[in-house]
Amino acid sequence: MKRRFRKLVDQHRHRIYTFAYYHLGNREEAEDVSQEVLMRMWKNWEEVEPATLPAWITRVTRNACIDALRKRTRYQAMVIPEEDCEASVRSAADRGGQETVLDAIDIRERLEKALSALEEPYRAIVILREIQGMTYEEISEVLDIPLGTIKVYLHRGRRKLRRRLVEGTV
Amino acid sequence: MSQSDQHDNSCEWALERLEAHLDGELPADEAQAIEVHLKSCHLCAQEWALAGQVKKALGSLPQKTCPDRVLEAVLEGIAEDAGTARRPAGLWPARLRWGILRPATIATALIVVLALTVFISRQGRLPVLPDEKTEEMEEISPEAVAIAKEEVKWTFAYIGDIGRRAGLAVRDDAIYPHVVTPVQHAVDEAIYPRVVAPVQHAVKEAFDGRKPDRRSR
Repeated sequence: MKRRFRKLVDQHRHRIYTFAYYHLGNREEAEDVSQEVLMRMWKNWEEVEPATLPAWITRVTRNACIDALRKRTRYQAMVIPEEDCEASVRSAADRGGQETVLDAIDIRERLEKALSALEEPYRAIVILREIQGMTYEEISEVLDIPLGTIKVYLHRGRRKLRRRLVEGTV
Repeated sequence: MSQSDQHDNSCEWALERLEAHLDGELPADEAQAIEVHLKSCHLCAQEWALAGQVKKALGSLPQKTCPDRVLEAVLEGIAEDAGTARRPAGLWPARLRWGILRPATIATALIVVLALTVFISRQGRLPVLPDEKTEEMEEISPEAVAIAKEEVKWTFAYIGDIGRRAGLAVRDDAIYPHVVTPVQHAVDEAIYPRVVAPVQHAVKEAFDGRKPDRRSR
């Protein structure tokens, strides 16, 4: 039993930590969340169908991240406003002729910050799709959101990231 | 014509489909129309370049490595969890006799005793390491040592878990009903009539004997 569980831990722990790191934007909280998820895995792994275990782990990790965010006082500022969900992309003309091509050197750092400030569920979808390479179907199953909506949210999430990087609001 | 004048409805149309085009999800005719538009519109072309850059940067963000201290904390948590875990009440009847003691309890206890015996017996037969490094020693990589250490930790955590469970089972099913409770009864039966009751009686008599004295005063 120990060996089987250990094998599972080795298979999933880096993935759990990577998701938590980009979701929360800091190492300490990502470690706490990873520990919590692995403990939950220890308590439940025998009851979860092996085929659904990766989806279960991702769901538990995301929920643990959201719980961690709730503990932060600034969480309220991150809650997604309804009207913002429906807002269309602002036209490029609004930004005038400002330079939009970003400095490749600092883009990664700014992107990490922008990502960890993105509202849910955009944040989870962008991480799962763009960083962890999950398919739309897998993301749809994990987050229990229709496939078409996942695509719309992904595009919207990337667009929001772009706006924030360009406008320097990160 | 200024750039903002150029940014008309066709720009809105193109920008709405930019992400889908980036992911290669647009029908061929729409993708072609966007490509044509991008060649003629500087602002949309700039937006397109930026979208590509962000997508590429997202894809290049590294997978993170979960630190080993997280694993160690999990191991400690598992050991702690096993230590505080209790069997649900009533799962095993407390009226078990020695003769029908649960086979699982006996088996678990035997495994623990066996494991401890093997462990103790090997203590005296540990190979003595030579002072200088040999070729064999040089073959052991740091990774192998780390894996071996990790394995030892897991093994001890697991043995500890079994030990605790076996200890609890033996205590609840064997020691309490067959040792502690009978001894308590025997002690009660032996001491109460011969010691406690006479002492209580003597104290009562002495107390009662003083009462008339107090009244007489």
